Amino acid sequence: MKKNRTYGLLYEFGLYKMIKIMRFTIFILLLSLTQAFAVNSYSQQTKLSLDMRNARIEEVIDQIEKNTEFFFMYNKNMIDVDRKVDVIADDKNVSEILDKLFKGTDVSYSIKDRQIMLINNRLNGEGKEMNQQQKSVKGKVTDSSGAPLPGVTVFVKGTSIGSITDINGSYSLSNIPENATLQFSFIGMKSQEIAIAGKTEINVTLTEESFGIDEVVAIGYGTQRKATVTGSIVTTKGDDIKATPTSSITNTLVGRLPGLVSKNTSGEPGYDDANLLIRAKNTFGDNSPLVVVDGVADRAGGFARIDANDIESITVLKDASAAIYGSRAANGVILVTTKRGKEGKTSVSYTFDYGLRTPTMFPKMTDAADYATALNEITRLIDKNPVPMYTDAEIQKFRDGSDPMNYPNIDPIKEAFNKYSAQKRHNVSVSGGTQTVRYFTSLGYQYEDNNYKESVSNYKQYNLRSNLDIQATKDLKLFVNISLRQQDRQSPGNTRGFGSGEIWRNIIQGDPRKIITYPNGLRAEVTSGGYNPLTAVDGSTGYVQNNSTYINGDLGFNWNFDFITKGLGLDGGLYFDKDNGFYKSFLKRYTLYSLNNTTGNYDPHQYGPTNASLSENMNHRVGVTSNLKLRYQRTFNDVHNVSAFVAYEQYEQKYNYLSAGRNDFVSTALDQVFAGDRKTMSNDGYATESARQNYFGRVDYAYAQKYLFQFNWRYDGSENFPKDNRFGFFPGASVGWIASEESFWKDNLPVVNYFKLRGSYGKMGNDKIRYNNADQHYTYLTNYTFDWNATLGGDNPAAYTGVRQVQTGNPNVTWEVATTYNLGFDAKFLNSAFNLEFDIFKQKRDHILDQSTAVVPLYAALELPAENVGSAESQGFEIALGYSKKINKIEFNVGGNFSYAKSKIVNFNEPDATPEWQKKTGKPIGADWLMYEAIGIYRTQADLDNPKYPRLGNAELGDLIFNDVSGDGILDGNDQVRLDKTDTPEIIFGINMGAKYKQFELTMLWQGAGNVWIYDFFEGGGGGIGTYTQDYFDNRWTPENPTASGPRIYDRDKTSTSKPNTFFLHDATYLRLKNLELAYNIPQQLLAKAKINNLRLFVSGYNLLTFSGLKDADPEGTASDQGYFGWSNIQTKVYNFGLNLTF
Amino acid sequence: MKRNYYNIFVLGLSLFFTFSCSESILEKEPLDAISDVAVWSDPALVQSFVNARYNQISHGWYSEAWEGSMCDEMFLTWSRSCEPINQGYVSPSTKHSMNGGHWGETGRDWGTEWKNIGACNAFFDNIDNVVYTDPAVKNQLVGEITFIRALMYWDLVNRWGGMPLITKSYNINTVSEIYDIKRNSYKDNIDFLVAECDKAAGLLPASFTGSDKGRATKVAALALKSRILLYAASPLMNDARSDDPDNLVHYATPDANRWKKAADAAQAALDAALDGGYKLFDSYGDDVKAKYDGIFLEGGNSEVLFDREGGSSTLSLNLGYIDEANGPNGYGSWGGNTPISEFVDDFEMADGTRFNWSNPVHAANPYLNRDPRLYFTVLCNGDMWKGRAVESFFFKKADGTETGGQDTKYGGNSWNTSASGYNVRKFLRESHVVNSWNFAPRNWIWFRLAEVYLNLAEAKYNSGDEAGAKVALNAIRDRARMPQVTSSGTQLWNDIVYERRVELAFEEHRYFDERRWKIAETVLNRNATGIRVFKNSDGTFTYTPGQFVEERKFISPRMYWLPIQLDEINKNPNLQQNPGY
Repeated sequence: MKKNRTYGLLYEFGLYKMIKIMRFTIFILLLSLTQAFAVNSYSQQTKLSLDMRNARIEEVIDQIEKNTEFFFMYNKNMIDVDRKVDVIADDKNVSEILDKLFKGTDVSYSIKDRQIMLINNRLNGEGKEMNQQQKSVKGKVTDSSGAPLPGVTVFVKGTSIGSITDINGSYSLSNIPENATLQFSFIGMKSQEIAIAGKTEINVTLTEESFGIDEVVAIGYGTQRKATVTGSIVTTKGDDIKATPTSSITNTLVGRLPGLVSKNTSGEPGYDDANLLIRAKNTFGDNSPLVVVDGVADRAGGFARIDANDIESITVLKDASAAIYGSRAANGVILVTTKRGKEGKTSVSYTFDYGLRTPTMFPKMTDAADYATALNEITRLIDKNPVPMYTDAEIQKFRDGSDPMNYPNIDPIKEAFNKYSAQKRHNVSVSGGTQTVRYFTSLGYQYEDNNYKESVSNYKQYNLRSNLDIQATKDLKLFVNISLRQQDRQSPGNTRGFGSGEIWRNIIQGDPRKIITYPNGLRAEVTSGGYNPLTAVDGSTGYVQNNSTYINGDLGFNWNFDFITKGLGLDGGLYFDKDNGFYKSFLKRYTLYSLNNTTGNYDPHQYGPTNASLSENMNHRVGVTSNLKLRYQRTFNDVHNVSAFVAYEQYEQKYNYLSAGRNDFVSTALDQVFAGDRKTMSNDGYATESARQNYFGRVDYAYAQKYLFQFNWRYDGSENFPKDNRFGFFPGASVGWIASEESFWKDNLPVVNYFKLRGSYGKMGNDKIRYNNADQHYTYLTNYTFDWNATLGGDNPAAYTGVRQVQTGNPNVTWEVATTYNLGFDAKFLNSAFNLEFDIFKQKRDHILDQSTAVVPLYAALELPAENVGSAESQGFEIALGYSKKINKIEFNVGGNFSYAKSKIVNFNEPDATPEWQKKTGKPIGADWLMYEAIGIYRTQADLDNPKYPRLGNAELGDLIFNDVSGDGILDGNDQVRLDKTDTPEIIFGINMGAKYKQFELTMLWQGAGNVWIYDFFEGGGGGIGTYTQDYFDNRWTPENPTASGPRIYDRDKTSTSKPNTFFLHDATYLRLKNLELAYNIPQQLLAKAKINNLRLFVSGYNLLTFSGLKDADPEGTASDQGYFGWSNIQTKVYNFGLNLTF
Repeated sequence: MKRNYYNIFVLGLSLFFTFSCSESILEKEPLDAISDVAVWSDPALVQSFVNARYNQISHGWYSEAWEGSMCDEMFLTWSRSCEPINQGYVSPSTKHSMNGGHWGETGRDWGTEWKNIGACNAFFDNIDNVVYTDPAVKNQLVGEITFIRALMYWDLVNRWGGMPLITKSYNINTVSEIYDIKRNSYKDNIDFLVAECDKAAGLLPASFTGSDKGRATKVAALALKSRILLYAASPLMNDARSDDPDNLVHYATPDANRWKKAADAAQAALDAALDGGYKLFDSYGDDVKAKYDGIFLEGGNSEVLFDREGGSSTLSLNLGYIDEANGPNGYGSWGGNTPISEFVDDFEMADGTRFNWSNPVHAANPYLNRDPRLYFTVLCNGDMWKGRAVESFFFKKADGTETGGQDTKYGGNSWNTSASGYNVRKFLRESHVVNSWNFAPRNWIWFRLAEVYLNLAEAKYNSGDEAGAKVALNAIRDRARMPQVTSSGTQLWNDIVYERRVELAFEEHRYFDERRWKIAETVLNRNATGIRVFKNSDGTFTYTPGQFVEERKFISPRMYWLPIQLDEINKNPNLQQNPGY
């Protein structure tokens, strides 16, 4: 065995290797090309060459836009773009070219990021003059960030009277009819029309076109103009998602990003992240996509709890475009980009939200009288005990409340829940910058309370982010990013599984016959083992604290080597990730009471440990990613655009775990380890480490901005696999054709002003092996661990250390291979008022890693490792349609998207002898429901005796008839059927709507899912099991009501009806109003004095409305492993209001 | 100048990455595990590997359902998982439990026992490569593993019949060989296990002392052999049957001489035990209750031939959990496994006569003057427990409505009320503080000397030595302060049956005894019933037996053996199912 290295961090990640032979030399790097992706100093970095003679200014501008990411804004009425010029420039900055272009004219320009604005100084000057002479209408035009917009054309509709805004965005017009309408237009912005209606001042905010020409999307190790993207990539802006008042980003995305499938299975604060899936399940194990935050994969803290205010954009790579992430890309990639500072004056923004959380719904459960009736039926019909548990008179007492001590009627939901609980969010951000330094800094705090009364369960988050860009020299930019986040989750002490999900479960199924609080205030023992719903939530049992700290720190550079050859550059970075976990469980003794029938006293019962006990664990993980990328970008002969890069990346990670505990605390006042009894102390600890090593690159080629080609590759090494199977090559290629650029299209189909056809193909890997709730490493090794200690010694017990095998090694293990195909088009018509995107795809996954438990008999006695045994495929399509329009004073946009994806297991390693109707092969991935088909109810003795309806176990009159699928006349486990249905939706759709009227803004996100099912069997039964839904009770079969629609009362543990069967399987199709926001922007003139740029007040909501066919379940709910419903906290609805202040 | 600094900085950074690019970073080894090579080259690790086999030895009190609740001893209050067996509908695909949930698998887990056998096989595959300076150390380990493997095999054979005799371990590349495997005959299994017991007995000492007490011994191996041969001689395995052509669950040819072999094996085990210093635990004089508590609660007492020690289970439960799960509800316990009247009523009177409800004296005071082992085994109304008398009586309140004592459905945790009116007392530690969740470790006794005496009695009776049978039987009766048996013929047989039922109650003997004697179709087709106790206003009690508890059914001959799970048969159709399923 290798000895542990004890060197320091630097040594660990650097020096140690430096001594080693250079395996990868800079010379290899120099052979390759790359693409610029520096964002902020774009104008300095971007050089271009032009050789145009006798060309119109407009043609020159077009050429610059095509070859760079610049786009121009100007007004054709004010700028003479038909003027003919000669431009000969060789590797010049854009400013140098523009200087020449407009030398000696009245035209000046300003460059803001990629945006170049052309202004006619003379006309603006005249406008000012007019201003002074006549004063009919004046105003100011600003962009959505509140910055003044110079050069905006303001025309009186239907006339030639007009003006241009000046450098301050101001305009003024005179001699205007009272009923005139003003038109404001500016390239790249949506036009607006506003009626004067007697006003003398009209201020306008122009917003960017939704598919603005500037739109740039992240594509993994770079960005690309959306117009020329060839992969299947969708993106959403941080500003959109932050309108959803929930703390987990994962809950804000579904419905916005076509192809993203999400399921939020819990509403518990801090534990309510949704499970995300891209397109479909493609593997039997972990289907979660790779998450890349600011260029780093799988980083500490993930992205779920990044402050929404910090997010610039979220992009999903759905097809071969993900291949750049190689052996981790098969499940798709989510790219998260955080905000960065922009050149300009410092802007301070403060946002405050206050929300009220409430469960989306409560199941309606029976009251005490009905439950007592059900218990009588169990006694009579199931237990065949002739003596009923309750007489009619007693049931009447439950019903009329005449004897509330002995026959109470309690609603545990009402007793244990608050109608609303609070959530709060604060965020302050400061951003701005100069030419040399740009900064974005943000500080956030969030708090969410759980819905239980006097609850000690809550979630707190503190986060800080600082992204800094330094233009060190003309050619060198450095960036420094730091992000810190503290997540504190607290729950009640969990002595006997009475934590989190169990709390909800116990309350929902709570026995309505049981007093929770006696009239004298003492808390009752509601079920055995010391359960009381109030005690379970209020901290009486102690507490569990689960804290996570995440630190991300990046240092990197973008270095242009134009001095070597133009277009060449080197980027690199060192990305440091650390997460710390701290878990503490402090359990206390508590008392519950029961009324003693014989004595009439309230007997106290002590629960929890005799004296308080404490267990703690800490873990920390340090990961360091470093990469180096050599890039090249150049345009040849004006039409050949080439950009390429090659890169190297490596990652190393080490994890340490340590735990300690003591019991028998003298006092509960001190909840620290030292205060426990030394004799009871215990500890444990271990470490793991892992590494990755990757070589990758990309080549983009575009001809005349019409024919697009992209090739990605990655040569990836994963330490999950044995040496010989460690490295894999993962290529991805895509092509695109912007047909609308062809002259035949322009001549014949001008209504479709943009049309791009694209296709991709790629191979990607999945090296994630996950089962038994843990990521599995070293699958190729046969491993043992210390466990299963023996106790020996008879009257003198002693522990002897045991060793057991963890796993039989699989020396042949390697990654899963995904082959993806994607075909799609993007179109815009009617001057981009409509846009349409369509994708059709197929993915095939081979060598799926899975344990062969279905085929290897238990008597082989193997601890099975993962093997590359399965294959599956998925296919589907996505369609997104958008439309924006301004009607009168209302500006609105509406968009819809629809995704359909279905997976199929092509080969599951299962025995031939398994009956066809139980095989997984051919079924969708996740088809885990193996259940009886309910085909009716035994209503008569004839049904019971009918040989066609054999009975399962002790089935009797009133029970469900199950289909004898095998047809052998015996109903047993062989007759269970594997359903073609899963709890993962195959259809996801979203509808976005936005409207703007004067100072008001309304946005709405409706989201729904289809082809999804839910198993909503509630654990009703006798004993302490719990009650039933009112719906089930009301519709149950009884001897007196033999034609009822439902079966007789069931008992979770005893009846055949409670075995998993299709009676309890329901269609969970739903539509819900995921997000609604109504905002009011206080008029600028009211704010000017206070030097406030913008004050926005808003009310918003999350999950406000839900439409589904389910009576007692939220459609996103799930059943427990055992098939019981209501084991996780229910989904949350939030009513929120807040304000945003910018100055 | 400034610019140069930057350039040097970045160049340095670049080189830093470049030089870091060595493939060696992927050469990681697990820091949370031990390698295969290390385990099989270090005698200390081999010793630990052997220790873990002890941990993985099966034990009784599995999950919440005891085996006694699947025969005519008890009823599990919450029924969980016992119904398919008690109600006669166990099948290969029901996995013995209604909901397939984790609430309980009946008996012991097939997979866990095979895994332990597999680990023992891995030991035999590798042990010869481990270098031992002292061959005695190795011999002892080989003996221990031989015994443990035989015990695990026996536990499988006992429930499912002849098993495939697998004596090598597999890995991922050789596992395909498993699909050729068929079950070996019952005879092959018995012959193999007897030989293994002999081998283990030859390698192991008669006893250990100190903290090694509890390891497998020669006496344990001989006690196992005694039980194997006793069962193998029984009618179920020797009666002719036509539905078992491969002789998986019975002998092709009956052989009366098998009783002789069983008697010899029992005698050998008894002799070895007595020679090795073992003896019937007989402290506390005439206080039978205290004496029997001692047998089960005083670890490593003189009667224990082999036990599975400690608190941790091969499942996730703590063995001490039985104290929580099985007391009466009024004490906050969960009233789990509860003796039924069919069992309680079988206890003789203290003078050795039968108890009879038709006898008005008996019926008026049913718990008076009974075999003292009743008071140790069962908690009846009025018995003292944890400082108060058990209250399983009902009474009328002043207003004429009925209510009940603390251990009835009118007491706390009513759903944990015993349906039979009785609660189990045997094995439970009276000092356990309910709800403290502080569990005392508990040893599951696999073999104790009393069983060897009773094996001897049964085998001698069946091989014609009634006198010898009585000597063995009376050793147990004496210790229990019950009159000696003097009967003969059928009555003597009944006395032997009685003694096993009472002395070995809940120790996982009755389930097998009623099968191998083939009396199951009679005794297991009786419904389970309980007692109702009513406290009269004058303080006296009225007892009404025959309270319905559960309808029971036994399907013969199918249910004499458990079905092999359908999953396992599907994986390898060469593995034959038991007859009738």
